[in-house]
Amino acid sequence: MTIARFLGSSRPGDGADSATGVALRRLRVALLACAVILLLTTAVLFWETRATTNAVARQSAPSIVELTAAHEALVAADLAVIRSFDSGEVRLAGPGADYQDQIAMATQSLARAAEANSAGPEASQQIQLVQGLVVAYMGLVGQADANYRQAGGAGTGLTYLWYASQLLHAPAGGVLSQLEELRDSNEELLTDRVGTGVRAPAVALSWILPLLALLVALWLTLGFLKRRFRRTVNLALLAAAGLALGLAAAASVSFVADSRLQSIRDDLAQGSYDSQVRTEALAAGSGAVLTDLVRAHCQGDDGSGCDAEALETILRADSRNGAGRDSAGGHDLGQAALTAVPVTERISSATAAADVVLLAPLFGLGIPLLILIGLHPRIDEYRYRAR
Amino acid sequence: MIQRRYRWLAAALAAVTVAAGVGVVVRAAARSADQVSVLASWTGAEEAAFRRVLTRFTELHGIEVSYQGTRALSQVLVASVRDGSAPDVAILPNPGELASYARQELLYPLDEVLDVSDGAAEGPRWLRLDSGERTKVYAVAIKADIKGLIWYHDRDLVGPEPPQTWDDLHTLRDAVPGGGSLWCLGMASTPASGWPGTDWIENILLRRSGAETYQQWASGALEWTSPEVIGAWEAWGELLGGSVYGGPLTAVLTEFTASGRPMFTDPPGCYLDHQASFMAGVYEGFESAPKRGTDFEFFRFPPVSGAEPLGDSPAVVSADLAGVFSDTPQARELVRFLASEEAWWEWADGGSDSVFTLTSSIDPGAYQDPADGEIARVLATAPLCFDASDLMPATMTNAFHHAVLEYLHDPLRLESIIENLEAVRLSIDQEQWLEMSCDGS
Repeated sequence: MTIARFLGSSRPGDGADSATGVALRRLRVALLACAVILLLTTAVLFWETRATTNAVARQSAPSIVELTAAHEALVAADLAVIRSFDSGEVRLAGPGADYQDQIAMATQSLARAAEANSAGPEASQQIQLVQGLVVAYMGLVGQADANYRQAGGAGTGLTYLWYASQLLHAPAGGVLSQLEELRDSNEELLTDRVGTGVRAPAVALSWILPLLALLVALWLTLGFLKRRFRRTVNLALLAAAGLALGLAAAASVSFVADSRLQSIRDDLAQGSYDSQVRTEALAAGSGAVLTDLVRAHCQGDDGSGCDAEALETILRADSRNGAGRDSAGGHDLGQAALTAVPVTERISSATAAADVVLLAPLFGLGIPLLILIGLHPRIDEYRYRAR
Repeated sequence: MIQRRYRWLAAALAAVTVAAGVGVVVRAAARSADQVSVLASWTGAEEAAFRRVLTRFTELHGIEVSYQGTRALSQVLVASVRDGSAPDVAILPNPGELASYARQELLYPLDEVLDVSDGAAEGPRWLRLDSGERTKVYAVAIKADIKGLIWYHDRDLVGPEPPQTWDDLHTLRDAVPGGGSLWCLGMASTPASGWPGTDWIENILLRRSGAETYQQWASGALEWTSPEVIGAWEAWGELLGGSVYGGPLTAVLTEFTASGRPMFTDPPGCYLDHQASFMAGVYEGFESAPKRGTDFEFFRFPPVSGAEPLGDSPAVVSADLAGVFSDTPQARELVRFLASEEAWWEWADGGSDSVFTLTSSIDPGAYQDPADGEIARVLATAPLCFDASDLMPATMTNAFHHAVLEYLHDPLRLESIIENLEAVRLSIDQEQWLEMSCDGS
């Protein structure tokens, strides 16, 4: 069907008035249909953008940040308590203030990670498991401290310190490996959320095509009105076109939000990697100090009956071994806070972009109204003429 | 015309919305109804084996199982109960701990889940958690092991006949080739390190003083300062005789799953490993892949003297008991299944794996390996005494674990260790102790 036939064109004198009325009504239907489709597709786009941004801002990103922070704090706590044994500080002040601070930070981060968790009930269970293991770790450190300070209790104290550190660093089932699993699952979830975003061709076409169709239909309508009614300007329809372009502009802001989410994802991935490098170095350092302590006890008077060679097999089996005592030097766990700051800023800007797209429905709702306002007088004329 | 069109549209939208809403509700309800959560201690290879059982359960009953395994079982369970997110089913090796939950009315009775009448053919032993006047059944044993088997690799040292008395064990120590140690020992099992040592004390006390004394001690009625208990500790020290691989510090830092490794080196670093029946699977996981029956065997912890036939001697056993924290049909169905012979069959991989139960209907001949069959026969026929440290209140158990580690570090501190244990015993209310221990006594 050609556009002319759709519009019901006819030659003057052949009942042209009723044909014009039919054409006007058909144009109105076409315009409203395009407007409604555009409204629906952009509404879905805006809702998706908003939902994804919120999920990332309130769940995925905070989860990853807090799990990383907890991981670093626990490694730091373990290093702190081992150093306090190495220096002898433990005999006067127990595990030390640094240990207490890091443990407090770790438990707070775990609590916040539990609140923000979006990776499902299994992840919630795993966080609970980690929290239980941290309690067990703290109990072992307490035992180590209590025994080490007793006369003749150095061996038992070191034993508990070893147990505590093993609980933390065990490659399978240890506290840190559980945290790494949790962080990985949250990162995968974040990647999935951001990956299926507004840049997908199908998603982009779903609103661009209706937009183009609406603009073309408006242009055709304005042309028809000019030919039939000698009316060059139809303010309402022009305003509708303006709103449609405004809607398109708002929709394009979703690209901005999506870009920022991808930056957040990339920042978090880099932050996790950097954190892993730091904590592995710290863990290796703490492992070296601890094994030196145990060796020294074996070789000293308190280690009577200790077979150094047999003991060495146990010490070498510690997965952290291979680095020296100084591998922990030069790594500042304060960098964990630096990772969080740029991410927080990006989250704010992504959220702000998503907030902008909330204005879009205001544009969208006005379009059908303006179409009706623009065509109603002409349609109304022909309704009376037909009578 | 337009109004009629709009009415149609409104009706269609309403119908779609209602249908979608109903679908969501039904789907959510269906999802929650088809699931049950389980918490237990099995990880690694043991977890893989247990998951086979759970998969079979799902195939049969259409109920999905969410399993969480951790060695910090007690801590995780305490935290989850406190948070109101307890698992539907928890499987613990510690009846004392389960009893504490039963007292808080957090565990649901299983009397209507299993056939618990006297003489029931399918009824596992150690079913009842008696505590004071309570007589309901709160947990069922779904897996069991004998404690205090002595595993060995070198038949030349042990000889054609395993040691029949303690004097025979002392003789073995003197026969160890120059530079070696008789005993393999591994105490580490974070966060419950020390429990392998408690198994020693329990076996020794049972052998030296008999089931009645053992029961009294396990139920908190016998002082730690009694001659029987002190004698058990001293006898342990004598049996070890300083012939422990790597010395005490190595022993306490060695994971219990790694204690037997030096048995299979050349030359062996140690020759005997006092451990539970599940260790066969652990040894077979070593790099050299030794095979039971061919590369290692066991003998039961001998009596003090030859006066009492070993076959009539009680054996110390441990069991993993399942308790229900959420009384749902799915949880009941799972517990019923786990206590069944079908679950054992799946778990033991048709009798090829060392997985044992207290279900009397399992034929020891079903095991492919004769050693496994022997263990199953002992579980089915010998008098059984539950692991005492697993029966004790958690405070006492923890103190017992710690005492083992202290004693190994410095046996000369036994007196103060015993005094501390006794102080802990006296601090615990009697109602927290369980009176169940030895079967048939």
